[in-house]
Amino acid sequence: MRAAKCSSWTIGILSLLSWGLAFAETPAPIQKFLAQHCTDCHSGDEPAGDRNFETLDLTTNTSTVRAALQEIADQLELGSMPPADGSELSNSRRKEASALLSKILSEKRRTMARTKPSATLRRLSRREYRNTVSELLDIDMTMFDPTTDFPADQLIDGFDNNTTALTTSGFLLEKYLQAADACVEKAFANLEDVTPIEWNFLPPFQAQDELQNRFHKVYGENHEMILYDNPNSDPSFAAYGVLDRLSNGVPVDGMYEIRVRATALNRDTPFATPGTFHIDLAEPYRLGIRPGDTKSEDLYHSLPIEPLLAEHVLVDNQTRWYPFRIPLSAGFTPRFTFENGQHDVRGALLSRIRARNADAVPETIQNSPNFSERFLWSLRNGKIPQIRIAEVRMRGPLPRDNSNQPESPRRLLETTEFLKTEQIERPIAQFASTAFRRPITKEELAQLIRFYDLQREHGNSSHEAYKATLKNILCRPEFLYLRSEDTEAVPLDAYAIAERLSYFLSSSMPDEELSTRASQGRLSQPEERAQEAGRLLQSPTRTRFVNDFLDNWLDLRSLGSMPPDTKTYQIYYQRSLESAMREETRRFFSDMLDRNASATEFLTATHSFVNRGLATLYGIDSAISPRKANDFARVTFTDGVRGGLLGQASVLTVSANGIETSPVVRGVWLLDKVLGISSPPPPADVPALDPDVRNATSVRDLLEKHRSSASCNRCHYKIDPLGFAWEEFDPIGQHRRFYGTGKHKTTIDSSGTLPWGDTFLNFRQFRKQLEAKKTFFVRNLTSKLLTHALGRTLQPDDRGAVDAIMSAAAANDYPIRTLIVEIVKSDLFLR
Amino acid sequence: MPDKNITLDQFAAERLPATTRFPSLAIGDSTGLHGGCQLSWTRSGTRVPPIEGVSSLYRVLFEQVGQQGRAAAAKGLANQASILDSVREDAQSFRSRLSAADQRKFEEYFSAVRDVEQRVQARRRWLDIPKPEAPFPQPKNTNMVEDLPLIYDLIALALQTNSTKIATLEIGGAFKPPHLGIQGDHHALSHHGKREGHIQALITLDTYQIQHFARFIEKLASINDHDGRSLLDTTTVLLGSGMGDANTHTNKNLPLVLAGGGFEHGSMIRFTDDSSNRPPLCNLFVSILQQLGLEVDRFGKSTGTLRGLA
Repeated sequence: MRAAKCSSWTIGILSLLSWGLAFAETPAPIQKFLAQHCTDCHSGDEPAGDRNFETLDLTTNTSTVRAALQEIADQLELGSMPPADGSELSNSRRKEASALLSKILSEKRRTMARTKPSATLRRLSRREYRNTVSELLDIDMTMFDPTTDFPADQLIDGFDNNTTALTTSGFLLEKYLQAADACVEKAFANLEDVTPIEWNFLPPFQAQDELQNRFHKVYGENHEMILYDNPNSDPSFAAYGVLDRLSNGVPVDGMYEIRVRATALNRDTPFATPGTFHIDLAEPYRLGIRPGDTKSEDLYHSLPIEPLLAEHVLVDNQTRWYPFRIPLSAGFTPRFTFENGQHDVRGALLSRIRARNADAVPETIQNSPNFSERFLWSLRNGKIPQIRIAEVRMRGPLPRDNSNQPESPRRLLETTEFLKTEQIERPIAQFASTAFRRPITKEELAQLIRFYDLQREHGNSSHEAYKATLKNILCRPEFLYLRSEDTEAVPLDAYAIAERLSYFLSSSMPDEELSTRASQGRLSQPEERAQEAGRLLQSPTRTRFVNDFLDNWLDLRSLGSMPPDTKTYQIYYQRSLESAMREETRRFFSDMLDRNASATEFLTATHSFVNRGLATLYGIDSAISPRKANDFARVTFTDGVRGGLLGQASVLTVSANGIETSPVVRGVWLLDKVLGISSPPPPADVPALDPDVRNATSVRDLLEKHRSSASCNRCHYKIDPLGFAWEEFDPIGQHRRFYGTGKHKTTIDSSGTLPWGDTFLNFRQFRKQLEAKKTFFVRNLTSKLLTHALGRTLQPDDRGAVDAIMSAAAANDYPIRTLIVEIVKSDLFLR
Repeated sequence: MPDKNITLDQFAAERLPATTRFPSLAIGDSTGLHGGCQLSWTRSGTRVPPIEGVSSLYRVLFEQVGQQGRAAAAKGLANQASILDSVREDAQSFRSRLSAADQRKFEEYFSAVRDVEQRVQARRRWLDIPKPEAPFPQPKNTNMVEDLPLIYDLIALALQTNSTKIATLEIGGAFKPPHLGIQGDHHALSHHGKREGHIQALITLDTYQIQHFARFIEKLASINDHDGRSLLDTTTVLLGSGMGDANTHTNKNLPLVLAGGGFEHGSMIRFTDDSSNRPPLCNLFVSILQQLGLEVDRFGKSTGTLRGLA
């Protein structure tokens, strides 16, 4: 934990502005206002916060002056300047000055020279590339990811689509070559129709190495498939049921029908306590299927690609058939999982059973020095909750249904077999035009045909040459880079607008409808763009916008990159909370989009969406039926704590490090993500905080000491209080009243004074105080949406456009869809 | 900084003659705390994808490619070369349509093409040269704790067989305390809050890592390189941590061990908080680069070579 840089008050994006401008004629009232309230501190050789208002020439119209005026206006509106120990300023004077500043600013913006565009050429981010090749070649990406080896994209302010960070290197281009090869080959491999195959799997089933012998001893040589652990256990212990005889996986990509004869056993185990098996026995068992790549070394443990493909709730103690229908990629095999099985129990079984019921364990076993003997006894007599699978029947690939995609890229590939040379132009032109997201030029087509011919000359078949050409297309800058404004004078054409719209709202290339509009030139008018944005926001591809924007804005992608302590926060793993937390925030935002709800609901809502795992974390597990434990339901909270964004476990977890919470880190997080106020990094030579949990020194006390230094306080009085309010939540977002346990237990003080002077006693009151600053929140949200849309950092002079978008959406308190639509309607969207 | 955030290994790899199959090896996790290995970065700001796990490292170094595999690889490389040829030529017209600022940005693409062309060429050259003979059968991945000695052995072999001149290893999130019989995870333990139990556990973990580092040094010392010198004499080895004190989360006063490379060893060079004019770590890097025979007088934020080091 480090203290933030003690330099100054800042709002929004600030460079270190040097305000060494001549003092000249200044709009009198503002000049007087500044002299009266600001220049006491903001003047001289070492002005407070490096801001000297005496030398600021307000008669000029430079970006420096505009940024300064904007900053002053924002500080006045927020109420954090002048500081409490500064000059008295009445509310009416404050409003007056703020209004005047805004007026001067809008006049300056109206007359300002348009700034020269900086580099805006942007390559596809990793996720955009992935989505685009998937659509372009009609490849199912559930089990196929050509981008796993790509160097990770770097983030700027949390955004992964910022042009500055999206560099191209040899390492990346090499991966592009390999990915192009893999994608095109996969697309063609999927074209062949394969007669469905039928499989039937019966005992004996193979268990993981270290269990196989023991299972033989306990369950016999011909044992069924047996599942104990949930797939999050590490290392797992009978967590994955594997069809060992399907050692090369399925032969081709496709949908497969799987029927499983399974039994749920021991939900009534006499050894059940929360601590024995780490399982919630109120829930009926869930049998899941997760894919396994047969090329990986060990299918009995967790693998990089293993999404839950389908699941069934099982009936207790009865053997029944359960049908599944799942996609599988060539080389993958289904693996069966006990989704809500026990967690991380392994070798400690006996001691746990004994703790629950000492009499149940014979003395000879209890005292046996032989681990294996004790272990086998536990398996035999421990009544371990488990799923048994007696038989698996499988059939596939099922016939494909292409009827709803008459013009799919697949068709384009299908029609190209055995083409004569003169016929190759059309499919190449078509594929390249789709890939380039605009009609291919004659010159470009000639280039590609030249390449095709060269391939033929080198002795490749027409089929090989065609594939090579498609691979070539996927490595070209026209595919890899998004269109930028060519020059100042030439506005974006309709294709470039279509591209910008679709990468903003669906993280992928334009769909057919959008491409058609582009070809008709029907996107230059704001209303035309609004209509398309509205359509995209209702299309299924919206999920990608929701997920990607939340990842960028709230850094949800980092959930799990600082794993919570496995010992203290076991519930996080046992209940798969990482994905549940993400899902809550996504559903919350998605639902707002559905209702076109006010953007301020992020702050004000009393509802949210939870499954049973989250409900347990929030202490309302009775709200979700154990039978539907994995379903999300809308719940309304009456505690004033949950509901809305600020009480969601996702943001509370991602702003902590998995081990402890820091009011500084969380304070900085809240200022940035909620209010749009960035905090400068701490200076190099600050004393570090040295956490010590052995005595009663709380982090609050440590910080209080820190703030007693005036230079530290200049930033920390703004940062820390927000973090204090969130101290009511532990590193995984559980509500808490105390730090520590036992003799180290101390009560948490979550009160504070906000930078603008309002005070709060606890998190509930803090939330209310923030609601009063909703314009700051909405402006920040608008800015983040724009950053996501434009793929670049907003500049101070973009502020006018942000404000214009906001006022266009101000009716009904900034409905969220309206805000987004106003963004695509704006001129800035085209720049 | 003119070299942006390029890391020491890539900086050196750019300058050393390309006489080895691999210009450098980056070994570490691709996922985990902070998104995995952060030790190796290119000039354009791209993270070099790390080789993960002992089994992949073994395959990279020793897996022989059969005749069929070689033919397929040769064909794949030829295809890549022809695509590169074509895009390099055709991208000129793409470039000409860009604004001046975008043209500067687009230079990245051209230099990437040149870079990969060189790599493809080098690969084609190396394709017909068999890899060194495998010293033992391919190991399976167990876990980073148990595999650590083997990874060190493979790095020593990579240097010995002249497969590379530069290797980096990050022992990151995959190094899990339970495999050493310690409850909890490394990151949690490192935020120890002065708890005695946590500190003891950290000592055990660090001791294990240092012991295997020492074993690695001894191994290098026992291998003859040339001119009667040991591999350790001709190899500079640097061990360190990005945290000076994980509990306070400070990146000052980093604990560092420098071995081999013909430096004068056997002493502790101390720069404490209160000593004036504390040198930046990059000064050590300049010393290392010069010791490698490279004519370099600055790296990153360096202000010179590291004083006190001979």
